[in-house]
Order: sequence, then C-alpha cells, then structure tokens
Amino acid sequence: MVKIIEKPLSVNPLKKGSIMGAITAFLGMHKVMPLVHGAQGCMAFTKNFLTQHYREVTPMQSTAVFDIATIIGDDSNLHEGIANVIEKQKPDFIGLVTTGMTEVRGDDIKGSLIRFREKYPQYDSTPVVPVACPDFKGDAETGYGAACAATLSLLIEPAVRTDYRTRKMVNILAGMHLTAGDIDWLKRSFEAFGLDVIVYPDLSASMGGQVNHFYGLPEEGTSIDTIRKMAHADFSIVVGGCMEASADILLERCTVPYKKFDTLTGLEATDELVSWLMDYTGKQAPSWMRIQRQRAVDALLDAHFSFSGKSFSIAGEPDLLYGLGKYLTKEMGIRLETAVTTARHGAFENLPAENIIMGDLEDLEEYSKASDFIIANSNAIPMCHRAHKPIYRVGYPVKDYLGHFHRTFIGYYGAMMLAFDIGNICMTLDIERSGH
Amino acid sequence: MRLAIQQLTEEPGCDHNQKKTAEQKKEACKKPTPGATAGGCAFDGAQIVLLPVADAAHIIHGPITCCGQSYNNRGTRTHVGNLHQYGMTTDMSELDIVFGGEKKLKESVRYVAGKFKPKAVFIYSTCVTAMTGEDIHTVAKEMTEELGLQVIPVDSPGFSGSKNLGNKFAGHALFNHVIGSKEPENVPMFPINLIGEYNIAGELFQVEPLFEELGISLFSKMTGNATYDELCYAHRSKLSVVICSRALISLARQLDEKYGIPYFEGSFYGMGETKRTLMTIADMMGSDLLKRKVEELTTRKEKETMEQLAPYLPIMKGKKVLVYTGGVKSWSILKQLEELGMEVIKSSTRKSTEEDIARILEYFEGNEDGLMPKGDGKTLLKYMKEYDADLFLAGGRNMYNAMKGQVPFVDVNQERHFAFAGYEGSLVLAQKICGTLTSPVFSIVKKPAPWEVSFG
Repeated sequence: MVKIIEKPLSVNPLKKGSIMGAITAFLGMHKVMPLVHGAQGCMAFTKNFLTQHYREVTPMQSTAVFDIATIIGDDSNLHEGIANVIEKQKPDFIGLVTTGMTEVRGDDIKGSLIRFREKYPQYDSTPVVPVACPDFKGDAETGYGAACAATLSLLIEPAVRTDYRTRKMVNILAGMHLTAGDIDWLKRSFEAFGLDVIVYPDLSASMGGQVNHFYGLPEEGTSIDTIRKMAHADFSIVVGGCMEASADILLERCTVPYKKFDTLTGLEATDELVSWLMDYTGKQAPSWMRIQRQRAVDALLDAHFSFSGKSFSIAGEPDLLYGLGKYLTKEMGIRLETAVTTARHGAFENLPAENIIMGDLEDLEEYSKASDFIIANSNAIPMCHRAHKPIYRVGYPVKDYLGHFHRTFIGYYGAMMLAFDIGNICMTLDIERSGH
Repeated sequence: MRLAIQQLTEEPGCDHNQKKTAEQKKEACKKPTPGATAGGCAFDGAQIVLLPVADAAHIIHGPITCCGQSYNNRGTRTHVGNLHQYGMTTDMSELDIVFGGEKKLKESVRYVAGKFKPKAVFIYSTCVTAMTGEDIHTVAKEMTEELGLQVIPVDSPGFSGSKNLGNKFAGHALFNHVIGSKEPENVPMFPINLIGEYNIAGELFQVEPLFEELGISLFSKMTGNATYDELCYAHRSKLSVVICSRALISLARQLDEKYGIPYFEGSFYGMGETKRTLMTIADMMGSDLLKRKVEELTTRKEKETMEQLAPYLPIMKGKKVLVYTGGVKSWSILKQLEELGMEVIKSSTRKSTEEDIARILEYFEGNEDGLMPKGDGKTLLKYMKEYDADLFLAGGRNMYNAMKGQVPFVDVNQERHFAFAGYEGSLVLAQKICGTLTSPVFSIVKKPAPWEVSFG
C-alpha cells in the first residue's frame, strides 16, 4: 500500500522538477543543446544543481521568458532562443524543454515550431525535439523518460536495413539511476558476449569526465546518427521503468523487440541479465565476469554478519529506489522501514517495506526513527545529522562526495561494492555499539 | 504587482537609471537574450536576500522546480536557527492550479507555524502562482491576524526579471512589511545597518570582531546571521552601510527618506577597502574618538596581516589574474588582489554600474582593454591563453570551465566554503590562491599520454 501523508506542503522535497530529468537525458547525447523554455531561473537552478552533482561543464540554455508581453503569450522569445542557439553553438539538434510556466500559459509548441520553420528556413537542418515538462506533474525520472521518448519519436524512422552486419546489435535504454560506472559495466559485459551496443542516453561520456577539453555542447554521448541507427538494432534492453516508453516506440515503429529489467542491482538481477545474454548469444560468460560473481558471493558472505538485525530507510526516484531496496532486503536481509519516492512508475510497490510513502525528506525523517542508516541524496545530510544516523549517498544530487558518478551499483561488481559499502556502515555501527 | 515592478525599476538612487530617459526608465534593467543567457531569475534574487534569516520559515508558493532544484544550497552561515536549510514549497499540482492554491498556502503556513515555531513566515510567489493570480498579500494578511505571527508576502515571479530585480523585491518586502514593525528595548551607542552582507562562508564572522572592538553595533544585519527581530529594528539605526549590492541601494535610500538614516557603499574585500569602510562609518557617526580607534585598529591589523602574508607574497608576486565576477565585487576584488601583489589583466564589467566601471578603469589606468563585458567559458579560456594568465578568479559556474582549460582557479561565488572578507579573509584568499598556483596537478595533467608521444 502506498501511503500519502496528509499535509499541505512539501518540506525538504525529494522530488525534482521534470525539466531536471529531461536536461540530464540530453546531457548524455552528443552535440545537443538543451533549451529550457521558461523564465531563466528554471534553467539557472538546474544548471547549478547538475554542475555541482557531476562536477562537469553542463551546457544548457534558456529562452528567458521575461516581459509582460511574453507572459501573455507570443512566441518571439522561443524563436529568438532557438535561432541564437543554432547560430552561436551550432548543435546537431536542440532539446526544447518546456516548463510549468509555459505549460500553464498553454503554449502551442508544435504550432510555434511550424511558424519558426516558416520564418527561418535557413535552420531547417537542425532538428528541434520538444518535450513537455510541466513541473506540476511527474518527477525527474518522468522528465528523463519523456525526453528520451520524444527524441526517438522525432529522429527515428522505420527503414529497411541496408548495411551487412556480422554481429548483433543491442540498444541499451539506460535509466536515469545509472552511473558512469554502471554504464561502463554494461558496455563491457555486452561486448564480451560479442554484441555491438548503443547506450542511450550515454551519460558516462561528458558527465563522466572523459572529455578533457572545454566544450560548449555535451560531447561523446549518443550521437544523432547513432540514435537513428537504433531503429535497426536487433534487440533493446530496458534498464529502469522510466525508459519503457522509448522501448515501445522502437518496437511499434521499427519492430525492435525488447526485454525490460526493473533493476540490475544485486546478484539475482545480474544473474537474470547474464542468463539472457547467454541464451541470446549462445555464448559462455567470460572469465572476468565469473570471477566478479565469485567475489560478489564472497563479499555477501563476509558482510552478512553485520547485516542481520539492521534496518534502513531509503528515499529516491522509483527506479533507483527499487533496485537498492530489493537488493538490501531480499538478498542482504536488512529490514526496510520506510521507502519514500516521488512518482508511480516501475516496480517499487513490490518492496517489502513497512511504509511506502509518496512524499519528501520530512516524511523520511519522521518515519525512519527505528532505522540504523539512511540511503538518500545529499539533501538528507542535515536530517541525518539531526538524527545521528549514517547516510549512504545515492541519487540526485550528491554534492559533497567526489566520484559518486563513477561508483558502480549494478552487475556483479556493483553487487560486491554495495555489499562492502553497506557492510562497512553496519560493521561500524556494531563496533560503536559494542563500546569501542 | 505591475506597479511595484515599475517602481522598483525606476530607482533614482541607482546611477544606472539616472542617465536613462523617461522612456528607458520604464523598461526594466537590461533584458537577457533568449538562447544566450546566464544567471538566475527574480525569485532566486529574492531568496538570496531573505533566506539567511534562519529563525523565519520560507515557503515557496509554486510547482516543484523553484524549490526542488534550489534548496539547501546557499553558502550563508548562521547561528540563529536552521530554517534556511529547509526547503518548503506548496509543490502545486495540476489540480491546485485549476482550483487555486490559496487554501493550500494558508494550510501550509499553519502547518509550518505549528511544527517549526518560526519567528515569521516569508511566502514567495513564483511564475506559475503569479500567472494564475494567487493573492499572496491577502493570504499573508489573514494568516498574520489568525496566527499572531508575521507572515510576509514576497512578490518574486521569476519572469519579472533578473536576480538583481529579485534582490530589490526582497528589499521592498522588508521595507513595507518588516522594518519598523517592532521597537527595540534599547538602542546601543553606534547602531548601524549592514545591507547586502549574507555571511557567505562566514564572511560576516571575519569582520564582526572588528566592529566589536570598535564598539560599533551591527544592529540590523541584512541579512547574514540575522534574527528576524533585528530586521524589524532597522529604522532605529544611525547609518546604513551597503555592502556589494547595487540592488539594495533602493532599500538604503528608502530608509534615508523615511527615517533619515544616511547611507554609503562599503566593502570588506581587501585591507584598504576595509579601512575605508570603517573610517567612513566613524566619519559619518561624527565621532573623533571612533576615528582614532579605527586608525589604531586598522594599522595594527594591517601589520599583523602583512606578517602572516609574508610566506605567500613571493608566490603571488606579479602573477597575472583574470577576474570574472559581477557588480561591486569586480572592483573591490581588484584592489584586494593588488594588495597581494598580483596583476589583474582583465576584469568583467557585467552587472557593474557606470560607477563600478569607472573604478575598474581607474585600476587599469584608463586602458579599456582591461574591461570585459560578457564572456562564455570558451572566450574566458581564450583570454587566459592570450594573456598568459596564471590564475582564473570567478564564480562557481566557471569552476569546471577552468578545470577543462586546466588553469588554476579560485571560486569567489556564493556556494563556496571559504570566506575572503576583512583581514582574516585576505589571508584565506592568499592561501587559496597559492594552493592552486603551486599545485603539482597542473603540470602532471599536461603531460602527454604515452600514446601521444612521438618517437624519432
């Protein structure tokens, strides 16, 4: 049963606006400019937020909807914004993200884009992907999924494949909860089974720090050509519920079948993926992967002494929450007191939690009194200080910890590292409580 | 609302506006260019000014983005409470927008008043709630009566303008609803208002001891480390010192007009500016004793600081700096860097007034090459290279631009963790500058990778 705590406001929100998710998705694509259609604060807050989270340059722009005339609703700011971005930055395409304000105003974005094309035919070669992101609806994962689906639906076309391939090609539709460490593990694993992969979107590139020069547009993520090639893939793997809409588009329009994984965190989930890879390719798992599994098994055994009798509470967007919640409860055997989340998609309702709450970090604080530790983003730090509880940082934002985005939470390696990290928190508590 | 915005953009105390024609004055301060803009909105600006008041609650009336992406992220430090760390928002849903959110806002005020027992509640309007015509003024009035707790409406829809305008909105709310609403029990000898000092990273804590030693009372601090009550008492001060904020000049002018409190602009960046600011206070207080004490204190502090700076000065001597920061800071930091023996090759003039620019030009001895109107990361890195600069000094938004360019960098913006004010601050700044200048990281990262080395 999902609870909603009756209160009139949100105190210490867990939820981020959907524009934040949509922009994040675009940062994983090559040479795209996310353009936020709204007052400049929507973009400025989000830029600040993501810059501190990734510790990277995060290109994005705003149409800076400003004076009263624009509030009433003509599209000059939108047109000028798109034209300026194309002129100055020369992006491969633009991700046009609307905001609560432009959605309330009822902007007809599609109509406005048609008028833009009539007015500026010289910019015809730059696609503009509109994504509706009213911040009074949905959360960051919703916006992320919407941006990915909107991009696919504008860019891909059903076409007969003309190239000859000796290897099979698989799309990995990567959910917002995945880190650069996770994406690296996925690429390496799929390639080890002789598959070519397209990761979409690929945040491990610019946001993973692999671009060592200054960039005005995100680089080395999924490019427009690669996105178009996704139509010709043999299969799609969905990681996280928020990417299912993208998989559906590829299935319906290009007949690319897909398999959905709600999570790849934990031994069981990884086994399921590897079994699928073995079935699909007819190949055996590589030796490095077997070794990683053996180490994960050993880590769980070593750490299990401290797991027992512990309890935790967790807050996060649904996909993030589900994977960690499932691994810690069903495989580590730690009791889950409260899970707080922000939207209703994915499989989180199946978690064996005493409370599942659609809410904020105040609810987490209120309903985690019996928990030994907290799993949440860095906004929960003041709350953990007040309650004298250790925090394990996950999700967005993580502002006070270097290298968070390179931690691995999925696959056998992620299972091992999580067993160690959570085990260390529990073991430290044991040592403290034994009076040392 | 419209009227209020017009009034605020027609600020006579702002020399930006003195030169404008009547027609130009009706236009708000410079408009951002769609698709080529940086910086926050009016709501952001209003929060910068008011959020440091940590014994008051701050409820943002709007959908999630305004609060969800911004809270728990201000560099302000305080000893008076912890409500500045809390994000509180009505988190408007689609239904709230259709049926109106005033009832929800009232219930939110009741909830917050009951649970957190704040000294006051600030309620902020945002783009969406301003567009749908939510009447936060009536809500504030009714809730003030119902709860016997001051509820202050802050008109701050982001679309109305830039961060600077938002600062003014906040000043407007303070002047109309807060200042003069309570009377202090006693007024000390030399009471002053400190306007536009937000105690970023504890900068106020660096200068507070100086005031204590001089016997000058920081009677009403707006708003770093301020209690709500002291804001109410601002009308009893003898003098307003406006620190690094052209936007709040309007508040100082209003205090002058209504209560006869004179004002001037000061700064605590650098030893010279700190002395000038303290001396001006003593001068305007008309106390010779105070003047002598300032002379004595600053001479002693300068000597002490120079001794402490001794190991750092040779490292900084003659090093070339590119400065990219806004407003008043752009010239006061130049002076601070000059004191440390560094040479500024270019400084930004964005958000600077004519007067600020004149002061920057003075530094560059009239050479306009030193002025840099606006620059994106790429342009700034180009200047670094072109002028063979050693250090880049700018706000946090440029930090990772600098790291992509692999150049030494010091953050001087509001999310930083280090304070650079007064005498102590000059030492901290010197330490941070030397730390980045002498880091071995920059030479090691410039080494070519093994596969980039050509043989033969």
